[in-house]
Amino acid sequence: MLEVNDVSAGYSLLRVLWDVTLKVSSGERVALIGPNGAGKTTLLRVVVGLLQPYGGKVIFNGEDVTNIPTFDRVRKGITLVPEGSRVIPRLTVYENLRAAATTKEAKDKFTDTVDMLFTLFPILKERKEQLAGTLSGGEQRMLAVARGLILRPKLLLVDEVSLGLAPKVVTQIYDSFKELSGMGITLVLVEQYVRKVLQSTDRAYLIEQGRIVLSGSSRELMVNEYVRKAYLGD
Amino acid sequence: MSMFKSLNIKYIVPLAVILYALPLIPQQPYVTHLMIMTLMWAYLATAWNILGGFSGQLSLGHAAFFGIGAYASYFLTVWYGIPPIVSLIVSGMFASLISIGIGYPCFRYGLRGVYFTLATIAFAEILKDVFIYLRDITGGSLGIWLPVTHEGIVNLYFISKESYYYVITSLWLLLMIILSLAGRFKDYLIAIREDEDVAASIGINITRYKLMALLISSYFTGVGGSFYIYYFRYINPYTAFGLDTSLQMVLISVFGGMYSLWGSFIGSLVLTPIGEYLRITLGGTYVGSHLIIYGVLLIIIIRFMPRGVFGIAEIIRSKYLIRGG
Repeated sequence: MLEVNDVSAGYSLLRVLWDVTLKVSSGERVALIGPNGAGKTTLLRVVVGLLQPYGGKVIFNGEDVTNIPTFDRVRKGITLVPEGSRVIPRLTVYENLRAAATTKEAKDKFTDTVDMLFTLFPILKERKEQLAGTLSGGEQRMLAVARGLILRPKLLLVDEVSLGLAPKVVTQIYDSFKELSGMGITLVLVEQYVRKVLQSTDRAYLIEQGRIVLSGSSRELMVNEYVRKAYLGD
Repeated sequence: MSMFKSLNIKYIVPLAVILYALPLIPQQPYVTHLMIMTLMWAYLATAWNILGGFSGQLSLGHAAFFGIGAYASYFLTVWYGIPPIVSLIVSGMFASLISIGIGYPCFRYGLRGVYFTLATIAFAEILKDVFIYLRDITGGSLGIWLPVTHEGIVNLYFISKESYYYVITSLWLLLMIILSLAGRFKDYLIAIREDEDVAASIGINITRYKLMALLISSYFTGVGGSFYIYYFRYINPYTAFGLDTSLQMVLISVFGGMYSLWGSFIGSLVLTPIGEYLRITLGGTYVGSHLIIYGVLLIIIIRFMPRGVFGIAEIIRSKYLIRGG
């Protein structure tokens, strides 16, 4: 479904990614783990087109999308839930969702999708008319995920959804990922909360200093000596 | 359906009744003039706010569109004999057309923030100089006069000031209704203002929507300029394209609350009469002193109400909703 081939990227002179190659198949749940500043967020930005790579290709469903703008990639089925949720604070919960219905499919199925999302995240239904800026951190994160789902993506990229949240809320959000996966949505989860994400995914890549240093099934990485020492604190 | 979207309509209807009924109370022509100015600046600030407030692209050159609307109306009326009521609608299109000249290069190549603002100021200043320079066509710095014509709505020429008041009130109400109904469009613009990366990530074509905001904003601003020349029957390049005119729209909008559809009206309701009053009482004896007082008032108010008068309403609204939720 998604192929990233030899991508190098960065911010003008500051190079962040070095020849990154990875593959995600349809229906998979894939984790990208690694320390702060490793380039995980940058990689996601390249995949959705918020950042133009120096070199390399992004291929989605067999099509080279490296040079098309972000909103077009969204139409093709790639959606990003950005780091730190970043909801639109001065719009209500409902308006945040409505603003995300930018494609024809999303507009047509909007009411159904919203109903589905309100079952997935009941708290958002209660907060429907509230300004998004007044939600708690966990609720904002749920709204950001829900906003991405309004677009009925084929591939959902989620950046650091657990950052700064209580474990209980994290579990709740990860439970929702399980359901999304059941609906056939391909997931790429960027996380520093390594144990949780390895438990909930099929495969994982470890990124350090802009390079992929390790990859394999999530179960393999869980028992890998290096990962256990450096990331799981065993 | 958002609760506050329907509330907008709920407010507009009774307000329309009040505004239309106001001239039934007999009053001095000067008071009517003041009401016309208040509505005109409310209208212009609302039009500015589509681009400056909702999409967050701070234009300090909206006089360009105001001036084009005014001059286009003059040319259409005097040279081509097109009925003023038609020119009023068409002149805005010229303003939109001109706005592409500044908007496309800026938005396409990512001129943001302060650089966009500077570009808009330069754009209006260039137009001003061009209109001063092309004396044979534009009348140069002396400006242009509209000839006296037959009274009536077709010619937008009335002896009584009340008729102008009804015209500008209707224009403003129309704009408010259009904007109240454009909920989704407004959401897109606000998303762009608050976070361009997020807006792109949810599939909003940022360049396109910024351009649309500019086209619509400049259209209505141009219509405002058209109204101005039909009311005053005179304009010159300094008024038409001057920074004062641009700033007035921005100040009213920011003062009233640029994040709200109602801010511009509230802003004009307060600032326009104060400005006029100070000009009349002080402007003659101590030239310029009214501007000092006006400026100090603005500094104080913006210092203590950074989100404008309407920002207070927003704070109350969110507090109430936290308690309520």
